[in-house]
Amino acid sequence: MTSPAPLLRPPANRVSPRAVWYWLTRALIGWLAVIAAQIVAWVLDWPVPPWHPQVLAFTVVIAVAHLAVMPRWRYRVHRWELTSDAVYVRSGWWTQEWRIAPVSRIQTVDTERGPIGRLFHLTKVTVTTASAAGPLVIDGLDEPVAAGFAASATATAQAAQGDAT
Amino acid sequence: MTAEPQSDQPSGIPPPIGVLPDPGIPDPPWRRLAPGMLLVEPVRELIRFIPMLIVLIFAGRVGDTGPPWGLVATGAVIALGISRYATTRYRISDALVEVRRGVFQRRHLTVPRDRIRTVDVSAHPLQRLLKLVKVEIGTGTSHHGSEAVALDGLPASAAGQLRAELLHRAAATGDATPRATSDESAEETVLARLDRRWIGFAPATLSGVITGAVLISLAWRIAGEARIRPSEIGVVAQLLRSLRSSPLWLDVLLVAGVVMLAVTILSVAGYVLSFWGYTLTRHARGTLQVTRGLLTTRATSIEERRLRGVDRFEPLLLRWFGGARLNAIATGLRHRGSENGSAVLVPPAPVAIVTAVEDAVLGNTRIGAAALIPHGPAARRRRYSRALGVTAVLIAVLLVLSVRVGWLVVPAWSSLLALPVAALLARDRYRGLGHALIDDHLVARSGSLARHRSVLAVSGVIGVTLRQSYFQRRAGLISLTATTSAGAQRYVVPDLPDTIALDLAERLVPQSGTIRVAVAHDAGRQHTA
Repeated sequence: MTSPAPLLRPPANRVSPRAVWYWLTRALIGWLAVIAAQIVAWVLDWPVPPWHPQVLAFTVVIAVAHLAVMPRWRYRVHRWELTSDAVYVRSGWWTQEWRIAPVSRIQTVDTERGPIGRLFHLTKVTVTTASAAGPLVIDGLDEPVAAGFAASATATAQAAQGDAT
Repeated sequence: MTAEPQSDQPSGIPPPIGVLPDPGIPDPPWRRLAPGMLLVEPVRELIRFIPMLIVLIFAGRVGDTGPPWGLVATGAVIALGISRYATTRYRISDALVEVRRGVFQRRHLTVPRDRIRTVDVSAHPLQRLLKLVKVEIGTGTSHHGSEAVALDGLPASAAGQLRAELLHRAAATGDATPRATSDESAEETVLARLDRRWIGFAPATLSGVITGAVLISLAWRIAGEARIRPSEIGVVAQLLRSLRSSPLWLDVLLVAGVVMLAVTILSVAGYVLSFWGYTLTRHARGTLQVTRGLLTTRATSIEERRLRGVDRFEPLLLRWFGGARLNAIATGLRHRGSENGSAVLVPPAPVAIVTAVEDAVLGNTRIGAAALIPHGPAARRRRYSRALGVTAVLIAVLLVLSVRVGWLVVPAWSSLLALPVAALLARDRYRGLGHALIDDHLVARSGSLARHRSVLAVSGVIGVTLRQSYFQRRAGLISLTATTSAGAQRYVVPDLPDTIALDLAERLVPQSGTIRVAVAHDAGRQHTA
């Protein structure tokens, strides 16, 4: 895991450490679905993926590697920061993204908890701007942290002038 | 746009037809569309249902029993067309444009007039015959599934004035002025007009390929549904027989020639149909207006205060012939699907013309022809490694398959020819890569097969995304995305050297300065970059 170019300062805050397990669970469910489909194809002897045992073994190897590496790597990368004039989020693992949106451009702050998120008491916060391409997503926040973030982001956004387009 | 229950409005009283709302009266009556639509709507519905009707008539004839489905369907289609006219009412007051329509599901669409950003006026051939037009009112919502407010079937004479009133409301607060139509033309300056020689660019756009494919698939579907086998038609059968008897190379040559001819004819026809009579004018009150179309005419107005930039599109073939096209980057224009046409500023035309229009539209002569900053050796290496790497992997898979399974031997080896093609593509992709920041406008160019050169006003940039893959981190490259509420919503500057990317990010969104690690360290690196 080569560290990124030391030009960019990581945002101040990490997400909840439980997010590692949250991402692991989410990825595991995805992989189990793929593996189940392959087993079904093998049992029913479908022609679609040829060489059933080899393909299945390959999938399992990739899945294990992904599950071993991705959650912790993602946890190390995923950080966020809210200052008086900007929201700043870093996300990803293999491909990493730094997103910056001025607070004056914030349109909505949504908090959301999916079924897996509820299991770990984690919340996903989405900050949207007037651009359809620019939502900032912080995934895996503790519930009170998420609520606090939403409150202060909305408050600072309201203080800023303009219609944010 | 939400559908609201309509209990308080008496809907049974037919208002007088063909009277313009007097701006003095606060609550104007509900008005119908022009009665000519009683003819237009059924005919258009019939045309739209032609494939289905053919099938139904065939099915009805083949079955030879039961009710005459073809007749029933035709009747239903005509009734649907008439009912659309009968159920549509609209009114335009000082503050609102309201439309009520719908047969089974009543809808009431309301647009505050100060939210109107575009007004499109179009007319298809039948409407032109009856001097009717369709007026579409755009509000610039990015919301998917929201309906545009459209008044399909106004008298052409009234529509032009309506457009001027709706768009230039701010300027026309005097209320008495907008009737003076002679002033309108005096306030317009023509920025570009169709030159017939431009039609020569039509084949290079390859638009005929798509038209051809659509036509063939349509014919295929109709033939399939009507249970006609193409090989049983006399002409086709004869053609197939003569192809079989002639040598293969002749067939290939012949087919290629026919395809090229067909694509050329279709492309030229498509160009003429959509861009005949093209004129780009600037209205003194701050709108750009594009008029075009041979059979279906269309006049699109774009408020200049909604314009965030322009996008020059130069696909490979068009570029080889020295052509380009220009689209507007504006908020409130739909850039996806069939509505994409509303953003056209210049149809395929010589690049010099496109550049001149770009300068005129932006009001800046330094941007259109500006030289861009190349992204350096690391970006060039990445172009090659990506193009060659992907191609090599594909070839390897093909070779392994051909060796292990034993088929496709000849094509697999010949696929090695793809490598030099990929290298050429990579070279062109690097040549296209460039950016500049000129007079508060971001200029970004990238791509080879579909090259875009986008100019985006810095004031229109909402946020910045810096993106690095694992390999980009190792190469010290960053792809910068400027997000905006206009046009494609995102404009990407791929593979910038990291220090330059940070500088650019800070110029676009000053707040992104906080993400730099240390200023002193940075300054040193900038010096070397």
